[in-house]
Amino acid sequence: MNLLSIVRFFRGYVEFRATGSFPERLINLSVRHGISVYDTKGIEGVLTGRVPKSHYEAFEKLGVRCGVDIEAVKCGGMPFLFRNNINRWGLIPGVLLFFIICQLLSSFVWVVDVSPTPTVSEYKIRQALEKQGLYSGAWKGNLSPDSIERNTMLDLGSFGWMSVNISGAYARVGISEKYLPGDTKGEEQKPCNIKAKKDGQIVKMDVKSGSSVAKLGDAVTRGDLLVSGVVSTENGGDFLKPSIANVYARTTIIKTVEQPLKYTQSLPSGKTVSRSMLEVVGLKIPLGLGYIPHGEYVHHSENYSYFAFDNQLPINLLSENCTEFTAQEIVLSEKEADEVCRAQLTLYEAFELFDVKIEDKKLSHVIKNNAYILTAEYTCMEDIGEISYIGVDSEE
Amino acid sequence: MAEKQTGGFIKNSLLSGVDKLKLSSVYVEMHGNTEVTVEGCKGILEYDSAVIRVSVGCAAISVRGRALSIKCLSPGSVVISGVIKAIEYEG
Repeated sequence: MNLLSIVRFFRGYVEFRATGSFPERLINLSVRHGISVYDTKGIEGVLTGRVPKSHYEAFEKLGVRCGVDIEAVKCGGMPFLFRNNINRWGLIPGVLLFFIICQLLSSFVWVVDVSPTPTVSEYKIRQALEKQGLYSGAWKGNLSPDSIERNTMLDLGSFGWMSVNISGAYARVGISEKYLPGDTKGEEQKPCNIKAKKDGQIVKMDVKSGSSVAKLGDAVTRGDLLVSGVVSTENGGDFLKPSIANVYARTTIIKTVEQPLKYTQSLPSGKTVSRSMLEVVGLKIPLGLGYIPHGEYVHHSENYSYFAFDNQLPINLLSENCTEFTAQEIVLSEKEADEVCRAQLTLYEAFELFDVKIEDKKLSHVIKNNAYILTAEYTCMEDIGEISYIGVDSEE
Repeated sequence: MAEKQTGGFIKNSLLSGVDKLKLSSVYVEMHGNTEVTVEGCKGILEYDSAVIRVSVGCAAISVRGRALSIKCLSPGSVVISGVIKAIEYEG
């Protein structure tokens, strides 16, 4: 609907049907008398079209002058709509109420759109924004985007920038991480030595740069120089260069894990309480009669947001699940404690020794102070080289 | 048929004293085959979905086609829309 259609609608129109000899003359006369005739169609000697309500009387007179019968087929537009509904007393107050409600509701923020960052979750950002008064249902008159940005950044920290844009009932919060400029001189370009980071016997050396100090079969202790970044030239001079080498040594790692044979642990009792709430424009409406009783409960809540055409609606479904935990005394047999300890060792090997080749593993156990203690002695082959920069810079 | 005869009478009376077509004051503009604007028109002589004849004073212009209608009409110009097949100059 273009502007002209809107104007015509507000002016009101009469749809006519003209028959008779030479209805084209009616159009010509109408134009000369300044009567706007539009949407005209001539089919088999019958002319149809529309004239504005205010011109219809003059149009009818022209029809008589040119011997054309004019029949009003339909009346439409705002004046007729208004006249047809004039007896409905609730219409005008209803329209007024509609505009008042629209005006009133548009003075609140109903949707807060937040994009999470890799370091800070959306939940934390929303909590920080809520502290500053920006939440679904907040009155826009109390909000100052500059103040919200400044205080939220101070509260959360570690952000490069933050922007709060309030458009209508929609608040869009943009957050960007802080990016630190990288060092122009790469660490790998600096002259350095390779030192041993733990005790062991060298079994393999792969020196790409630098002069090796240790030899195969040497037993080294932590801090010993393995590859030097000081390289001598044929002319008798020395110069510094970065050392690049992999020095593999056979090392021994001892790991002890302990499991009490009798202990108290909080375990789920099987009792769970669930409740849901519908949050509509900031108002929380409980769905059901569930409540969270006192006691030791683990609280798990989920928030479902609803979208329409990629726009978030001010409707959320909050679902809360609480699981009761009770303290239970657990007594383990030696076999069960051994299984627990072995599982711990498996995790240790997976997460701590993932870059180490385990050649041998010896296990021994002892029961001491009502606890099962399992000790593992690993014989491994690993890269024990550690970069140690040569302090040539004044600030170093 | 009576109205057509009347239209024809007007046309003939308009052109009765003119021997030569003088269409220099008429401006016709076409947009593809869907719209034609005639400036300098004096009135509508015939209006049907298949043909619309426009008086340009000393002559008449017929626009032939399908689903023709007058989109806009003012004292000096007319805009005809529809599927236009031919424009004829009569006089």
